[in-house]
Amino acid sequence: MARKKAPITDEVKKRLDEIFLEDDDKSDIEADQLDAQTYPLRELKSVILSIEWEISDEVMHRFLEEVARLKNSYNNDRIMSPFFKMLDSLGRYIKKYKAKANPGAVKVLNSVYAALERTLLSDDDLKATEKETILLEEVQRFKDLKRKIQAGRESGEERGRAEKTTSELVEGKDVSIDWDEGRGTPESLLAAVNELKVLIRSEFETLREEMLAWLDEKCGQESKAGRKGRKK
Amino acid sequence: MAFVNLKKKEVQVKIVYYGPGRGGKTTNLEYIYNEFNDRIKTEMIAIKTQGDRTLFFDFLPFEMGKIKGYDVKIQLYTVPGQVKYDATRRLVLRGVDGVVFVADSMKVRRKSNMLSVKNLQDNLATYKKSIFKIPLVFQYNKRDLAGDGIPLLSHETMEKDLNSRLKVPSFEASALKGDNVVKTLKKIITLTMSALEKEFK
Repeated sequence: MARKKAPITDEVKKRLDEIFLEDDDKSDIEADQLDAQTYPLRELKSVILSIEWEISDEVMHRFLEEVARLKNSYNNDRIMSPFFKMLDSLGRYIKKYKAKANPGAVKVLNSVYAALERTLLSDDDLKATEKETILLEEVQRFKDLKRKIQAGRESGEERGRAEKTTSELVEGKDVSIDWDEGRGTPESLLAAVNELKVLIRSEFETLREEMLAWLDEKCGQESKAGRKGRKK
Repeated sequence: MAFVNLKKKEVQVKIVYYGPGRGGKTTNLEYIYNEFNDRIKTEMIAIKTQGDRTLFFDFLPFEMGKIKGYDVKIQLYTVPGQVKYDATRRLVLRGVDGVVFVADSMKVRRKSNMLSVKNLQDNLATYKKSIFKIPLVFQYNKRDLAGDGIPLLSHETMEKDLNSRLKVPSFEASALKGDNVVKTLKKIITLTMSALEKEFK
């Protein structure tokens, strides 16, 4: 198919806007830039509100585009990056299944967004460990949803295996949500889990030491009491 | 018609600011020059008489850069508005690609606006151009005078007087303050470039 030529007017208008940018336009752009710095989630929030009303291809496309943009911006942020990865997966899943998507998916999406907003806009109010805790809670919600979807799909597959066509099976494989553990688990999350393991291990060691000390003490008292009893 | 140099891949577009005397044609160009000189990097040439009136014409060229592979150069001209300089007006109109008609919004200038539109039609006809076909934008200038209590023509009246048959884009403006000066310019350039593209297809 031959590509339709873009009209010259688009190019002319764009060039004219570049040359004849007036102070009013400049201040608008500066305000937008400032807004983007102080509230970088504005566009994402607006799209998420649209999802509440209607799950259409257009809305989901806008959502995924905005998530991709933010994901790119926060690529090196070990706390923020997993939030965007989860939103991306949820968005692709909801886009694919729309009304047939698990009802919990939109709830989890809203929850992940709310946690992201809280974490991102907190500045220094939240400590890094608090942010990690928030992230872990959302990861848990995400995993629970994943389990439910997989369970539902497996039972559905068993019921309808006999009548399923090849194309349906292919479609089943092509689920856009990224459920792969290795790819879906970010490095920061693994680091946080390892930190927790170390913490729990050290807690247990301390507890064990305290218990041993307590047992020693108790045994010492009992043996003293025994000796006294025998003397009598 | 625009001057096109196929070898150099260059297009020169001529836009003329037309209208009655003391209507604000030169003020339009001066605003553009003063505001955007650092970006368009050009010189404005104005030939004036003692009374600060345009004797021959004002000339403000600037480059738009490459569009569709061609270097586009825009040349803005004004004509002398005074009735007696009709020969000069005709001369300036030679090779025109687009026209901005700067009308005076003051009530006392109503007739001179209409006469000037008629004069534009006649002068274009000498070059076998039709006022109904050439890219044209109306600018109803001096709207800021309303604040000084000076009686102005309403937008509707000006549309009825000047634009009822032509039905081209029109803007209320204040060339002195810069209101809608750029909007007018952008509109005429866009219309002209679009017309030229159709012509060369």
